Amino acid sequence: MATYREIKGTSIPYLDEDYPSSVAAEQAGQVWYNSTTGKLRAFIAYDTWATTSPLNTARRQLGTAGTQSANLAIGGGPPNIATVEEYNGNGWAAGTNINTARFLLTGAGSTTAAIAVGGRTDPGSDQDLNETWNGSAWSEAGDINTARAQLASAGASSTAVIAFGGATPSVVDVNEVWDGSSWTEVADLNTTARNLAGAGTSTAALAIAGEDPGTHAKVESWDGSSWTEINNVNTARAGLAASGTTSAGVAFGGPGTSALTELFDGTSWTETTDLNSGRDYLAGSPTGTLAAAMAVAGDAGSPNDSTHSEEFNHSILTFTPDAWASGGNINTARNFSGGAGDQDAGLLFGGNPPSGGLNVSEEYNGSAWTEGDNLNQVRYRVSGAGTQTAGLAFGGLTFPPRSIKNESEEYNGTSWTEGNNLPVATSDLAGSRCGTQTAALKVGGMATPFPTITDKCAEYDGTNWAEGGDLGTARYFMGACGAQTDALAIGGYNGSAALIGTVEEYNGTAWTAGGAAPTAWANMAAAGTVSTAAVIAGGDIPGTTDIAATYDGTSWVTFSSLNTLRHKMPGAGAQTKALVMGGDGPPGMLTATEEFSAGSTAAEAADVDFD
Amino acid sequence: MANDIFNYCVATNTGKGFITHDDSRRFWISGYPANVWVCTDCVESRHWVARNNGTSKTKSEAQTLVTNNVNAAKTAWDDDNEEGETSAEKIARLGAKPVDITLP
Repeated sequence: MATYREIKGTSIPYLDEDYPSSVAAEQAGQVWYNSTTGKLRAFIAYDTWATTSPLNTARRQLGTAGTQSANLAIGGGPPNIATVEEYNGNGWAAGTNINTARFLLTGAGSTTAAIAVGGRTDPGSDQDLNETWNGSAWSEAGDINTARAQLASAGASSTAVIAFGGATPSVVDVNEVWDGSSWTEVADLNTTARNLAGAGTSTAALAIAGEDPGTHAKVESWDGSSWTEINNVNTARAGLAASGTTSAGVAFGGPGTSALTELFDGTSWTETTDLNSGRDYLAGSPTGTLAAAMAVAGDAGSPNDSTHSEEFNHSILTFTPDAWASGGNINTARNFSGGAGDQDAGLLFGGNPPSGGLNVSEEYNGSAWTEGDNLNQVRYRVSGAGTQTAGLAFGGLTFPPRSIKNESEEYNGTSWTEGNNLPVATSDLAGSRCGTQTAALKVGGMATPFPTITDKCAEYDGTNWAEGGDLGTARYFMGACGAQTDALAIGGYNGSAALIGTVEEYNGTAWTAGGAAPTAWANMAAAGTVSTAAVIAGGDIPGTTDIAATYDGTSWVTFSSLNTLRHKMPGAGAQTKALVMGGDGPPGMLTATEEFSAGSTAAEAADVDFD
Repeated sequence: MANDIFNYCVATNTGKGFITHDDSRRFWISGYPANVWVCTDCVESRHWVARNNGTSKTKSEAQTLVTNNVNAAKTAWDDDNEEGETSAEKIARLGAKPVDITLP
């Protein structure tokens, strides 16, 4: 009898704990014995579908080209459309339309060199059209020999593609190969099929399922010269999509708005995690992989054409995206407040309305807000620093008449007491929170005499304020966050009509340019530091937004939005404990708060199940 | 363009637990005036509506609620004036006049 080592080429390590996540990639496929749990363990691949940005135009029966991170959605319908959209891994943007609007077509290639073949312009009008995309324009190229719709294709470029199956409207087994200049008929499929899926290249492809007229589960593999029947998918279907190669692929969707997803390991198909939104007549990522595929649009329940897009990942790493969740509601709806603390122990003070300012402060325990001692000075557009038990409020405004404040107050978890004043009275600081009660930073703002948009910064040592380094750009209504020696100033207004998107980083001495914000941005909540990562959310761009973005010390990435549109509110906490409090989401003041949860990527070992 | 990949509802934000991080990761959700919420239409979002005692609305019904709320806010904004206050000062005090919102 063969030993495990003879079969697998390795013995099974005997460990008293699992391999750590940090070595998951190099240990992928390795089985080990965990003597503590008494189990055989391994890093096992997980399959996940994650919803991503929707298309701008709902559609089904479209063609696609490209991968999970760079995809083209081409045409579709009915009614037939010529609209093309490009996906960059984050969102869809309008592309260049194909010359002939049609649906039930197929696509292949990439976002810079694609092909759109066949399709139907009107019921009963199947096309032999072939259009190629060079990254800037669609051009008519050599027609396919058999006009048809409901066909499939495979090909990694716009010059090497096979197109197979379809309907003329009679269902056909025709297979043609494109060499960049003309189509040539080559060996037919073994089974006639329409609305089948294709994956792979022009020399190594899969033809998956389909119908004639009933759905079937047959799969054929193409080796560049002939088709061979291989193991069926588990569920007969048509109107599905696929991604991958002849040795590792994934097929998904189908009739009855199926969400079924099956993995192919080169030999057999296995059911795995369903699509989040079941659809038929959807499209995939023709040059994608098993590890990273995409499901695009489709019919989510006839006649409900969908804009839905999902990304599939097959990985030993589990990706958990960033997300926002509801926190406890504050008791007094308000904007332009100051904030401190974090999502476990927050502090909110001052704000508006009533017009002129508010002195109410509230404490958060991670689930609910309770009234605390009031500020001594009514004010709004005020800044904060510190924690719930060692907080600081400074600057701000009462109005009318306009009175910009220089007072600072310290909170000890019970009451507010007067501290020393700012060097210059400054307001329009809401959204700012930098430092602690004993090492705080005031960033820019609107100073006296009004209207002085200032580049002046001030540092607090727990007793006195002293002048800090000047901002490169004077600004107010910006986001600011971090520590006295590790701070960010983001966007705001600089006195021109438009918002700005410039970012500056402070090291305790001087401000230097940071990575530009994703857009001109003001009145947002900000939290975190330069060195440990920051997050901004909501605000004006210039319309009120729910967009959020994270900063890694170099560049910004937009991610899942706040759940509620809002602006003019403070943020607080480290990035991983960020809290957004109140504000106003047109047209009213909000009591809602939101808590940030940073995403992660990690591998977790699992028991090996031999069943 | 079809709009039916979304579901529309009215639900009161009760604070902590109303939208969880898991909810937020599983489906897109966005809040609008009048306690109107718009979600990706999927099993998880329907469960979220039920869990929060939400009332499902058609898109048209939801849009009407939002529009009425915005119109009321516009009227309130127009009526909120202080003697001698300039337009810029009013905007600084109240923020810009509410604008129409069109649901996705």
